[in-house]
Amino acid sequence: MAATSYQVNAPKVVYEAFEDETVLINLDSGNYYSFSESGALIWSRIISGESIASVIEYLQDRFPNTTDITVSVEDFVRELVEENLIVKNSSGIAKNVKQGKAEIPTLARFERPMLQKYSDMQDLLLLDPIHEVDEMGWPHALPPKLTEEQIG
Amino acid sequence: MIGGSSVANRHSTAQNIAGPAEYFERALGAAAAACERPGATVKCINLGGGRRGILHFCDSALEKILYAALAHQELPNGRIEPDFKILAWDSLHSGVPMWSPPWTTDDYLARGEIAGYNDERFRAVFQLDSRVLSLYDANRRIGLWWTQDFAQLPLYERAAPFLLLFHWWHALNNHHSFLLHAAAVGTENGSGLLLAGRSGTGKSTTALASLVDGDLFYVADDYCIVRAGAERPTVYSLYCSAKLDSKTLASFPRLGHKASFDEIGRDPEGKIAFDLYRSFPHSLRKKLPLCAILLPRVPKDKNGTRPNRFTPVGSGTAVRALAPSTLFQLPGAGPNNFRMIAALANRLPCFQLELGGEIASVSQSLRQFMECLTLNERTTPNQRNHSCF
Repeated sequence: MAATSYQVNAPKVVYEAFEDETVLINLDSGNYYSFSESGALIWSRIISGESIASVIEYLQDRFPNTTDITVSVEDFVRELVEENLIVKNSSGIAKNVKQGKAEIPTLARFERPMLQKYSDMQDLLLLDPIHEVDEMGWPHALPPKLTEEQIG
Repeated sequence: MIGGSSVANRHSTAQNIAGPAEYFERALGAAAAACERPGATVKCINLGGGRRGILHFCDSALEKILYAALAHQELPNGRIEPDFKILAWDSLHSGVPMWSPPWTTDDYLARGEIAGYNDERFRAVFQLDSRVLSLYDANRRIGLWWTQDFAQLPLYERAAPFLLLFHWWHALNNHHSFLLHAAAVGTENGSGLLLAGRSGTGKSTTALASLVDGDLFYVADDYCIVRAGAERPTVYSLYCSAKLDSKTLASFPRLGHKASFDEIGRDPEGKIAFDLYRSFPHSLRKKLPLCAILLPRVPKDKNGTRPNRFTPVGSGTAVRALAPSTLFQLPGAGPNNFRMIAALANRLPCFQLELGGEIASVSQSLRQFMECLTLNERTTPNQRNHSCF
Protein backbone atom coordinates (compact mmCIF):
# COMPACT_ATOMS: atom_id res chain seq x y z
CA MET A 1 0.00 0.00 0.00
CA ALA A 2 2.81 2.39 0.94
CA ALA A 3 3.90 3.24 -2.61
CA THR A 4 0.35 3.57 -3.88
CA SER A 5 -1.43 6.86 -4.44
CA TYR A 6 -5.19 7.34 -4.61
CA GLN A 7 -7.79 9.69 -6.00
CA VAL A 8 -11.39 10.48 -5.12
CA ASN A 9 -13.85 8.01 -6.62
CA ALA A 10 -15.51 10.74 -8.69
CA PRO A 11 -18.18 11.33 -9.84
CA LYS A 12 -19.80 8.82 -7.47
CA VAL A 13 -18.24 10.53 -4.47
CA VAL A 14 -18.50 14.24 -3.69
CA TYR A 15 -16.78 15.93 -0.76
CA GLU A 16 -16.14 19.30 0.85
CA ALA A 17 -13.75 20.27 3.63
CA PHE A 18 -15.07 22.58 6.33
CA GLU A 19 -13.47 24.12 9.37
CA ASP A 20 -15.08 21.57 11.72
CA GLU A 21 -15.09 18.46 9.54
CA THR A 22 -14.82 17.01 6.04
CA VAL A 23 -18.08 15.64 4.61
CA LEU A 24 -18.22 12.98 1.86
CA ILE A 25 -21.25 11.57 0.07
CA ASN A 26 -21.29 8.38 -1.98
CA LEU A 27 -24.13 9.09 -4.40
CA ASP A 28 -24.39 5.46 -5.50
CA SER A 29 -24.53 3.71 -2.14
CA GLY A 30 -26.65 6.18 -0.15
CA ASN A 31 -23.98 6.42 2.54
CA TYR A 32 -22.30 9.61 3.68
CA TYR A 33 -19.28 10.14 5.90
CA SER A 34 -17.38 12.63 7.97
CA PHE A 35 -14.04 12.92 9.68
CA SER A 36 -12.08 15.69 11.31
CA GLU A 37 -8.61 16.67 12.50
CA SER A 38 -6.07 13.94 11.64
CA GLY A 39 -8.54 12.29 9.25
CA ALA A 40 -9.07 15.57 7.44
CA LEU A 41 -5.32 16.14 7.27
CA ILE A 42 -4.61 12.67 5.83
CA TRP A 43 -7.49 13.02 3.36
CA SER A 44 -6.27 16.38 2.07
CA ARG A 45 -2.83 14.92 1.36
CA ILE A 46 -4.11 11.66 -0.18
CA ILE A 47 -6.37 13.40 -2.66
CA SER A 48 -3.61 15.79 -3.66
CA GLY A 49 -1.90 12.72 -5.12
CA GLU A 50 0.68 11.91 -2.44
CA SER A 51 1.69 8.30 -1.98
CA ILE A 52 0.71 6.72 1.32
CA ALA A 53 4.42 6.40 2.18
CA SER A 54 4.83 10.13 1.71
CA VAL A 55 1.83 10.90 3.91
CA ILE A 56 3.20 8.66 6.66
CA GLU A 57 6.65 10.22 6.38
CA TYR A 58 5.18 13.69 6.61
CA LEU A 59 3.15 12.79 9.72
CA GLN A 60 6.12 11.08 11.38
CA ASP A 61 8.19 14.23 10.81
CA ARG A 62 5.48 16.42 12.20
CA PHE A 63 4.55 14.25 15.18
CA PRO A 64 7.85 12.52 16.12
CA ASN A 65 6.60 11.26 19.50
CA THR A 66 3.61 9.38 18.09
CA THR A 67 4.19 5.67 17.56
CA ASP A 68 1.19 4.28 15.72
CA ILE A 69 1.09 6.60 12.70
CA THR A 70 1.81 3.94 10.06
CA VAL A 71 -0.91 1.58 11.29
CA SER A 72 -3.40 4.42 11.77
CA VAL A 73 -2.89 5.78 8.26
CA GLU A 74 -2.98 2.37 6.59
CA ASP A 75 -6.15 1.37 8.47
CA PHE A 76 -7.80 4.67 7.56
CA VAL A 77 -6.86 4.32 3.88
CA ARG A 78 -8.08 0.73 3.86
CA GLU A 79 -11.43 1.90 5.22
CA LEU A 80 -11.68 4.63 2.59
CA VAL A 81 -10.99 2.06 -0.13
CA GLU A 82 -13.47 -0.46 1.30
CA GLU A 83 -16.16 2.23 1.33
CA ASN A 84 -15.33 3.05 -2.32
CA LEU A 85 -14.48 6.63 -1.43
CA ILE A 86 -11.06 6.52 -3.07
CA VAL A 87 -9.59 4.42 -5.87
CA LYS A 88 -6.02 3.84 -6.96
CA ASN A 89 -4.62 6.74 -8.92
CA SER A 90 -5.21 5.98 -12.58
CA SER A 91 -2.10 7.89 -13.66
CA GLY A 92 0.07 5.67 -11.47
CA ILE A 93 2.26 8.64 -10.63
CA ALA A 94 2.52 9.46 -6.96
CA LYS A 95 3.77 12.78 -5.68
CA ASN A 96 6.32 12.88 -2.92
CA VAL A 97 5.40 16.14 -1.26
CA LYS A 98 6.86 16.93 2.12
CA GLN A 99 5.54 20.47 2.42
CA GLY A 100 1.82 20.29 1.94
CA LYS A 101 -0.34 23.38 1.54
CA ALA A 102 -3.56 21.81 2.79
CA GLU A 103 -2.44 21.49 6.39
CA ILE A 104 -4.78 22.00 9.30
CA PRO A 105 -2.97 24.54 11.47
CA THR A 106 -4.85 23.78 14.66
CA LEU A 107 -3.85 20.11 14.71
CA ALA A 108 -1.65 20.04 17.81
CA ARG A 109 -1.27 16.28 18.08
CA PHE A 110 -1.97 13.21 16.02
CA GLU A 111 -4.92 11.06 16.99
CA ARG A 112 -6.12 7.92 15.28
CA PRO A 113 -8.47 9.09 12.46
CA MET A 114 -12.09 8.06 12.73
CA LEU A 115 -14.29 7.63 9.67
CA GLN A 116 -17.90 8.26 10.71
CA LYS A 117 -20.35 6.47 8.45
CA TYR A 118 -24.06 7.39 8.13
CA SER A 119 -26.49 5.02 6.40
CA ASP A 120 -29.79 6.63 7.32
CA MET A 121 -30.52 7.79 3.75
CA GLN A 122 -30.36 4.44 2.02
CA ASP A 123 -34.14 4.07 1.98
CA LEU A 124 -34.24 6.97 -0.50
CA LEU A 125 -32.39 4.91 -3.09
CA LEU A 126 -33.26 2.04 -5.35
CA LEU A 127 -30.65 -0.50 -4.33
CA ASP A 128 -32.42 -3.72 -5.38
CA PRO A 129 -32.66 -4.80 -9.02
CA ILE A 130 -36.00 -4.51 -10.83
CA HIS A 131 -37.45 -7.83 -11.94
CA GLU A 132 -41.03 -7.19 -13.05
CA VAL A 133 -42.63 -4.81 -15.53
CA ASP A 134 -46.20 -4.28 -16.72
CA GLU A 135 -47.43 -5.07 -20.24
CA MET A 136 -46.15 -1.67 -21.45
CA GLY A 137 -42.68 -2.26 -20.03
CA TRP A 138 -42.91 0.04 -16.99
CA PRO A 139 -41.65 -1.32 -13.66
CA HIS A 140 -44.26 -2.14 -11.05
CA ALA A 141 -44.70 0.08 -8.04
CA LEU A 142 -42.54 -0.73 -5.05
CA PRO A 143 -44.29 -2.56 -2.22
CA PRO A 144 -44.97 -0.23 0.71
CA LYS A 145 -42.15 -0.15 3.23
CA LEU A 146 -42.96 -1.65 6.61
CA THR A 147 -42.85 0.68 9.55
CA GLU A 148 -40.83 -0.15 12.64
CA GLU A 149 -44.08 -1.01 14.47
CA GLN A 150 -45.10 -3.42 11.69
CA ILE A 151 -41.72 -5.08 11.72
CA GLY A 152 -42.04 -5.42 15.46
CA MET B 1 -49.75 23.63 -31.11
CA ILE B 2 -47.71 23.10 -27.94
CA GLY B 3 -44.82 21.39 -29.72
CA GLY B 4 -43.42 17.99 -30.60
CA SER B 5 -44.07 15.59 -33.41
CA SER B 6 -47.50 14.10 -33.95
CA VAL B 7 -48.39 11.12 -31.84
CA ALA B 8 -49.43 7.79 -33.31
CA ASN B 9 -52.86 6.46 -32.46
CA ARG B 10 -51.55 3.55 -30.44
CA HIS B 11 -47.98 2.64 -29.74
CA SER B 12 -46.84 -0.07 -27.46
CA THR B 13 -43.17 -0.47 -28.20
CA ALA B 14 -40.40 1.91 -29.09
CA GLN B 15 -37.40 -0.35 -29.37
CA ASN B 16 -36.05 1.51 -32.37
CA ILE B 17 -35.73 4.81 -30.47
CA ALA B 18 -32.11 5.84 -30.67
CA GLY B 19 -31.56 7.87 -27.49
CA PRO B 20 -32.76 10.65 -25.19
CA ALA B 21 -33.40 13.25 -27.92
CA GLU B 22 -35.62 10.96 -29.94
CA TYR B 23 -37.46 9.59 -26.92
CA PHE B 24 -38.08 13.10 -25.63
CA GLU B 25 -39.39 14.22 -29.03
CA ARG B 26 -41.85 11.34 -29.17
CA ALA B 27 -42.93 11.87 -25.57
CA LEU B 28 -43.42 15.58 -26.30
CA GLY B 29 -45.66 14.63 -29.19
CA ALA B 30 -47.78 12.50 -26.88
CA ALA B 31 -47.85 15.23 -24.22
CA ALA B 32 -48.90 17.84 -26.76
CA ALA B 33 -51.68 15.62 -28.03
CA ALA B 34 -52.95 15.11 -24.47
CA CYS B 35 -52.69 18.77 -23.51
CA GLU B 36 -54.44 20.06 -26.66
CA ARG B 37 -57.54 17.94 -26.11
CA PRO B 38 -60.84 19.64 -25.26
CA GLY B 39 -60.89 20.06 -21.50
CA ALA B 40 -57.13 20.56 -21.19
CA THR B 41 -56.18 23.44 -18.88
CA VAL B 42 -53.33 25.93 -18.53
CA LYS B 43 -51.91 27.77 -15.52
CA CYS B 44 -49.27 30.46 -15.32
CA ILE B 45 -47.05 30.56 -12.23
CA ASN B 46 -44.37 32.69 -10.63
CA LEU B 47 -40.98 30.94 -10.46
CA GLY B 48 -39.19 33.62 -8.46
CA GLY B 49 -36.81 36.32 -9.65
CA GLY B 50 -39.31 37.59 -12.22
CA ARG B 51 -39.38 34.28 -14.08
CA ARG B 52 -42.61 32.64 -15.14
CA GLY B 53 -43.72 29.12 -15.88
CA ILE B 54 -46.61 27.65 -17.88
CA LEU B 55 -48.25 24.45 -16.71
CA HIS B 56 -50.35 22.45 -19.18
CA PHE B 57 -52.65 19.76 -17.78
CA CYS B 58 -54.51 17.18 -19.86
CA ASP B 59 -57.70 17.89 -17.90
CA SER B 60 -59.08 19.78 -14.93
CA ALA B 61 -59.08 16.68 -12.70
CA LEU B 62 -55.30 16.34 -13.03
CA GLU B 63 -54.94 20.09 -12.53
CA LYS B 64 -56.93 19.85 -9.33
CA ILE B 65 -54.61 17.15 -8.00
CA LEU B 66 -51.30 18.70 -8.97
CA TYR B 67 -51.93 22.42 -8.87
CA ALA B 68 -53.17 22.90 -5.28
CA ALA B 69 -49.63 22.98 -3.87
CA LEU B 70 -48.62 25.63 -6.42
CA ALA B 71 -51.74 27.80 -6.28
CA HIS B 72 -50.02 30.53 -4.24
CA GLN B 73 -47.68 31.12 -7.20
CA GLU B 74 -50.53 31.77 -9.65
CA LEU B 75 -50.16 34.58 -12.19
CA PRO B 76 -52.82 35.84 -14.59
CA ASN B 77 -52.91 33.73 -17.73
CA GLY B 78 -51.70 35.61 -20.74
CA ARG B 79 -49.72 35.29 -23.90
CA ILE B 80 -46.26 35.24 -22.43
CA GLU B 81 -43.03 33.59 -23.42
CA PRO B 82 -42.46 31.36 -20.38
CA ASP B 83 -39.07 30.69 -18.84
CA PHE B 84 -40.19 27.12 -18.21
CA LYS B 85 -42.95 24.96 -19.63
CA ILE B 86 -44.38 21.77 -18.14
CA LEU B 87 -46.82 19.40 -19.83
CA ALA B 88 -48.57 16.91 -17.55
CA TRP B 89 -50.85 14.09 -18.54
CA ASP B 90 -51.93 10.57 -17.71
CA SER B 91 -52.87 7.92 -20.24
CA LEU B 92 -55.92 6.43 -18.53
CA HIS B 93 -57.96 9.64 -18.43
CA SER B 94 -56.62 11.39 -21.54
CA GLY B 95 -56.61 8.28 -23.72
CA VAL B 96 -53.19 9.29 -25.05
CA PRO B 97 -50.70 6.46 -24.59
CA MET B 98 -47.07 6.93 -23.67
CA TRP B 99 -44.20 5.43 -25.60
CA SER B 100 -42.99 2.28 -23.94
CA PRO B 101 -39.49 2.44 -22.47
CA PRO B 102 -36.80 1.55 -24.97
CA TRP B 103 -34.43 0.86 -22.07
CA THR B 104 -34.23 -2.31 -19.95
CA THR B 105 -34.82 -2.95 -16.26
CA ASP B 106 -31.04 -2.97 -15.74
CA ASP B 107 -30.90 0.68 -16.81
CA TYR B 108 -32.64 2.05 -13.68
CA LEU B 109 -29.95 3.54 -11.45
CA ALA B 110 -29.96 4.11 -7.69
CA ARG B 111 -31.81 7.44 -7.75
CA GLY B 112 -34.21 6.41 -10.54
CA GLU B 113 -32.11 7.87 -13.37
CA ILE B 114 -32.33 5.93 -16.60
CA ALA B 115 -28.86 5.03 -17.85
CA GLY B 116 -28.17 6.44 -21.30
CA TYR B 117 -31.04 8.95 -21.09
CA ASN B 118 -29.39 11.55 -18.87
CA ASP B 119 -26.82 13.85 -20.39
CA GLU B 120 -25.94 17.55 -20.47
CA ARG B 121 -29.21 18.38 -22.19
CA PHE B 122 -31.75 15.70 -21.23
CA ARG B 123 -32.91 14.22 -17.95
CA ALA B 124 -35.10 11.12 -17.52
CA VAL B 125 -36.26 9.51 -14.29
CA PHE B 126 -38.97 6.94 -13.59
CA GLN B 127 -39.95 6.96 -9.92
CA LEU B 128 -40.94 3.46 -8.93
CA ASP B 129 -43.03 4.30 -5.91
CA SER B 130 -45.16 6.94 -7.64
CA ARG B 131 -44.83 5.48 -11.17
CA VAL B 132 -44.22 8.95 -12.54
CA LEU B 133 -41.94 9.50 -15.53
CA SER B 134 -40.23 12.91 -15.60
CA LEU B 135 -38.38 14.09 -18.70
CA TYR B 136 -36.57 17.39 -19.20
CA ASP B 137 -34.98 19.15 -22.15
CA ALA B 138 -32.66 21.90 -20.88
CA ASN B 139 -32.26 23.50 -24.32
CA ARG B 140 -35.96 24.15 -24.75
CA ARG B 141 -36.70 24.40 -21.01
CA ILE B 142 -39.58 21.96 -21.34
CA GLY B 143 -40.50 19.38 -18.71
CA LEU B 144 -42.79 16.40 -19.29
CA TRP B 145 -44.66 14.65 -16.50
CA TRP B 146 -46.50 11.40 -17.17
CA THR B 147 -48.17 8.61 -15.24
CA GLN B 148 -50.51 5.85 -16.33
CA ASP B 149 -53.34 6.69 -13.89
CA PHE B 150 -53.26 9.85 -11.77
CA ALA B 151 -55.76 8.34 -9.33
CA GLN B 152 -52.91 6.14 -8.06
CA LEU B 153 -50.57 9.02 -7.17
CA PRO B 154 -49.17 8.97 -3.64
CA LEU B 155 -49.81 11.93 -1.37
CA TYR B 156 -46.27 13.28 -1.59
CA GLU B 157 -46.62 13.76 -5.34
CA ARG B 158 -49.65 15.97 -4.70
CA ALA B 159 -47.89 17.89 -1.94
CA ALA B 160 -44.75 18.47 -4.04
CA PRO B 161 -45.69 18.15 -7.73
CA PHE B 162 -43.07 18.35 -10.50
CA LEU B 163 -40.27 18.31 -7.92
CA LEU B 164 -37.68 16.79 -10.26
CA LEU B 165 -38.63 19.10 -13.13
CA PHE B 166 -38.17 22.18 -10.93
CA HIS B 167 -34.89 20.74 -9.67
CA TRP B 168 -33.54 20.22 -13.19
CA TRP B 169 -34.71 23.61 -14.38
CA HIS B 170 -32.75 25.27 -11.57
CA ALA B 171 -29.74 22.95 -11.87
CA LEU B 172 -29.35 23.16 -15.64
CA ASN B 173 -30.72 26.58 -16.50
CA ASN B 174 -30.24 28.81 -13.44
CA HIS B 175 -26.69 28.97 -12.19
CA HIS B 176 -27.29 30.80 -8.91
CA SER B 177 -30.37 29.00 -7.59
CA PHE B 178 -30.97 25.46 -6.46
CA LEU B 179 -33.66 23.30 -4.92
CA LEU B 180 -33.08 22.31 -1.33
CA HIS B 181 -34.72 19.84 1.04
CA ALA B 182 -35.41 22.27 3.88
CA ALA B 183 -38.15 24.31 5.53
CA ALA B 184 -38.03 28.09 5.96
CA VAL B 185 -39.74 30.69 8.16
CA GLY B 186 -39.06 34.33 9.00
CA THR B 187 -40.19 37.66 10.35
CA GLU B 188 -41.95 40.67 8.91
CA ASN B 189 -38.70 42.67 8.85
CA GLY B 190 -37.24 40.32 6.28
CA SER B 191 -35.15 37.83 8.24
CA GLY B 192 -35.42 34.22 7.22
CA LEU B 193 -34.31 30.96 8.84
CA LEU B 194 -33.55 27.79 6.96
CA LEU B 195 -34.60 24.65 8.87
CA ALA B 196 -32.60 21.61 7.82
CA GLY B 197 -32.70 17.93 8.63
CA ARG B 198 -34.10 14.68 7.36
CA SER B 199 -37.74 13.75 7.93
CA GLY B 200 -38.55 13.25 11.60
CA THR B 201 -35.97 15.64 13.03
CA GLY B 202 -38.54 18.36 13.81
CA LYS B 203 -38.12 20.49 10.68
CA SER B 204 -41.77 20.56 9.63
CA THR B 205 -42.96 20.74 13.22
CA THR B 206 -40.85 23.84 13.84
CA ALA B 207 -42.00 25.48 10.62
CA LEU B 208 -45.64 24.76 11.25
CA ALA B 209 -45.43 25.81 14.90
CA SER B 210 -44.15 29.19 13.72
CA LEU B 211 -47.26 29.57 11.65
CA VAL B 212 -50.05 27.92 13.60
CA ASP B 213 -49.19 28.96 17.13
CA GLY B 214 -47.14 32.04 16.34
CA ASP B 215 -46.90 35.04 14.13
CA LEU B 216 -43.94 34.24 11.90
CA PHE B 217 -44.11 34.07 8.14
CA TYR B 218 -43.93 30.74 6.38
CA VAL B 219 -41.96 30.10 3.21
CA ALA B 220 -41.53 26.34 2.95
CA ASP B 221 -42.27 23.09 4.72
CA ASP B 222 -40.14 20.51 2.92
CA TYR B 223 -38.63 21.93 -0.26
CA CYS B 224 -37.53 25.43 -1.14
CA ILE B 225 -35.42 27.29 -3.65
CA VAL B 226 -32.29 29.10 -2.49
CA ARG B 227 -30.67 31.82 -4.52
CA ALA B 228 -27.13 32.59 -3.43
CA GLY B 229 -25.12 34.57 -5.93
CA ALA B 230 -23.24 37.70 -5.00
CA GLU B 231 -26.20 39.03 -3.03
CA ARG B 232 -27.37 37.88 0.39
CA PRO B 233 -28.70 34.30 0.22
CA THR B 234 -32.46 34.30 -0.20
CA VAL B 235 -34.99 31.52 0.20
CA TYR B 236 -37.95 31.30 -2.18
CA SER B 237 -41.20 29.44 -1.69
CA LEU B 238 -41.98 26.60 -4.06
CA TYR B 239 -45.02 24.85 -2.56
CA CYS B 240 -47.77 25.96 -0.18
CA SER B 241 -48.33 22.49 1.26
CA ALA B 242 -47.39 20.99 4.61
CA LYS B 243 -47.35 17.24 5.24
CA LEU B 244 -48.00 15.93 8.72
CA ASP B 245 -48.31 12.42 10.08
CA SER B 246 -50.88 11.57 12.72
CA LYS B 247 -48.33 11.71 15.56
CA THR B 248 -47.17 15.23 14.67
CA LEU B 249 -50.73 16.31 13.95
CA ALA B 250 -51.62 15.56 17.56
CA SER B 251 -49.20 18.36 18.54
CA PHE B 252 -51.35 20.88 16.68
CA PRO B 253 -54.87 20.66 18.11
CA ARG B 254 -55.93 23.66 16.01
CA LEU B 255 -55.05 21.86 12.78
CA GLY B 256 -56.54 18.58 13.89
CA HIS B 257 -59.92 19.87 14.93
CA LYS B 258 -60.63 22.97 12.90
CA ALA B 259 -62.63 21.92 9.87
CA SER B 260 -61.82 25.12 8.01
CA PHE B 261 -58.21 24.13 7.39
CA ASP B 262 -58.05 23.04 3.79
CA GLU B 263 -56.48 19.77 2.86
CA ILE B 264 -54.69 18.84 -0.33
CA GLY B 265 -55.22 15.19 0.51
CA ARG B 266 -54.54 12.38 2.94
CA ASP B 267 -53.20 8.86 2.59
CA PRO B 268 -54.26 5.53 4.15
CA GLU B 269 -51.51 5.80 6.80
CA GLY B 270 -53.13 8.95 8.20
CA LYS B 271 -50.68 11.44 6.76
CA ILE B 272 -52.34 14.72 5.74
CA ALA B 273 -51.14 17.40 3.32
CA PHE B 274 -52.54 20.80 4.30
CA ASP B 275 -53.15 23.65 1.90
CA LEU B 276 -51.52 26.55 3.73
CA TYR B 277 -52.34 29.07 1.04
CA ARG B 278 -56.04 28.65 1.72
CA SER B 279 -55.68 28.14 5.46
CA PHE B 280 -53.17 30.94 6.19
CA PRO B 281 -53.20 33.21 3.13
CA HIS B 282 -51.69 36.20 4.93
CA SER B 283 -48.84 34.30 6.59
CA LEU B 284 -47.13 32.95 3.50
CA ARG B 285 -44.12 34.74 2.00
CA LYS B 286 -42.75 34.15 -1.49
CA LYS B 287 -39.20 34.96 -0.43
CA LEU B 288 -37.06 36.03 2.52
CA PRO B 289 -33.36 36.88 2.89
CA LEU B 290 -31.66 34.27 5.06
CA CYS B 291 -29.90 35.07 8.32
CA ALA B 292 -29.10 31.57 9.67
CA ILE B 293 -29.40 27.82 9.25
CA LEU B 294 -31.08 25.91 12.07
CA LEU B 295 -30.93 22.17 12.62
CA PRO B 296 -33.99 21.30 14.75
CA ARG B 297 -33.80 18.24 16.93
CA VAL B 298 -36.54 16.61 18.95
CA PRO B 299 -34.96 15.21 22.13
CA LYS B 300 -35.67 11.54 22.84
CA ASP B 301 -36.61 12.25 26.43
CA LYS B 302 -39.31 14.82 25.79
CA ASN B 303 -39.75 17.26 28.65
CA GLY B 304 -42.24 20.05 28.14
CA THR B 305 -40.72 22.34 30.73
CA ARG B 306 -37.31 22.81 29.12
CA PRO B 307 -36.63 25.93 27.06
CA ASN B 308 -35.76 25.66 23.38
CA ARG B 309 -31.97 25.76 23.15
CA PHE B 310 -29.77 27.15 20.36
CA THR B 311 -26.17 25.89 20.09
CA PRO B 312 -23.69 27.07 17.43
CA VAL B 313 -22.48 24.27 15.14
CA GLY B 314 -19.93 24.19 12.32
CA SER B 315 -20.69 24.43 8.61
CA GLY B 316 -19.81 20.76 8.15
CA THR B 317 -22.48 19.72 10.64
CA ALA B 318 -25.03 21.85 8.80
CA VAL B 319 -24.03 20.38 5.46
CA ARG B 320 -24.51 16.86 6.84
CA ALA B 321 -28.10 17.85 7.66
CA LEU B 322 -28.75 19.62 4.35
CA ALA B 323 -26.84 17.87 1.60
CA PRO B 324 -27.46 14.10 1.82
CA SER B 325 -31.24 14.35 2.07
CA THR B 326 -31.27 16.83 -0.83
CA LEU B 327 -28.86 14.97 -3.08
CA PHE B 328 -30.37 11.52 -2.54
CA GLN B 329 -33.89 12.78 -3.28
CA LEU B 330 -32.94 14.63 -6.44
CA PRO B 331 -31.60 12.50 -9.29
CA GLY B 332 -28.93 14.35 -11.22
CA ALA B 333 -27.87 16.42 -8.24
CA GLY B 334 -24.11 16.11 -7.92
CA PRO B 335 -20.94 18.09 -7.27
CA ASN B 336 -22.44 21.45 -8.32
CA ASN B 337 -25.39 21.14 -5.93
CA PHE B 338 -23.07 19.97 -3.18
CA ARG B 339 -20.75 22.93 -3.71
CA MET B 340 -23.66 25.38 -3.60
CA ILE B 341 -24.98 23.85 -0.37
CA ALA B 342 -21.47 23.99 1.11
CA ALA B 343 -21.06 27.63 0.07
CA LEU B 344 -24.42 28.48 1.64
CA ALA B 345 -23.43 26.84 4.94
CA ASN B 346 -20.14 28.73 4.90
CA ARG B 347 -21.92 32.07 4.42
CA LEU B 348 -24.53 31.70 7.16
CA PRO B 349 -24.21 31.07 10.90
CA CYS B 350 -25.40 27.55 11.77
CA PHE B 351 -27.10 26.45 14.99
CA GLN B 352 -28.65 23.34 16.41
CA LEU B 353 -32.10 23.96 17.84
CA GLU B 354 -32.96 21.52 20.57
CA LEU B 355 -36.72 21.68 20.88
CA GLY B 356 -37.90 21.81 24.46
CA GLY B 357 -41.15 19.99 23.86
CA GLU B 358 -43.59 22.86 24.27
CA ILE B 359 -44.57 23.58 20.69
CA ALA B 360 -46.39 26.81 21.49
CA SER B 361 -43.09 28.36 22.62
CA VAL B 362 -41.19 27.69 19.39
CA SER B 363 -42.36 30.77 17.52
CA GLN B 364 -41.38 33.13 20.33
CA SER B 365 -37.98 31.44 20.68
CA LEU B 366 -37.28 31.80 16.98
CA ARG B 367 -38.24 35.47 17.07
CA GLN B 368 -35.92 36.14 20.03
CA PHE B 369 -33.16 34.19 18.31
CA MET B 370 -33.43 36.31 15.16
CA GLU B 371 -33.45 39.53 17.19
CA CYS B 372 -30.27 38.35 18.93
CA LEU B 373 -28.66 37.52 15.59
CA THR B 374 -29.54 40.95 14.22
CA LEU B 375 -28.15 42.62 17.32
CA ASN B 376 -24.90 40.68 17.07
CA GLU B 377 -24.56 41.49 13.37
CA ARG B 378 -24.34 45.17 14.29
CA THR B 379 -21.56 44.70 16.82
CA THR B 380 -17.91 43.73 16.66
CA PRO B 381 -16.99 40.09 17.34
CA ASN B 382 -15.72 40.99 20.84
CA GLN B 383 -18.98 42.70 21.76
CA ARG B 384 -21.20 39.86 20.60
CA ASN B 385 -23.48 38.37 23.17
CA HIS B 386 -23.83 34.65 22.47
CA SER B 387 -25.63 34.04 25.73
CA CYS B 388 -28.80 35.56 24.27
CA PHE B 389 -29.19 32.40 22.14
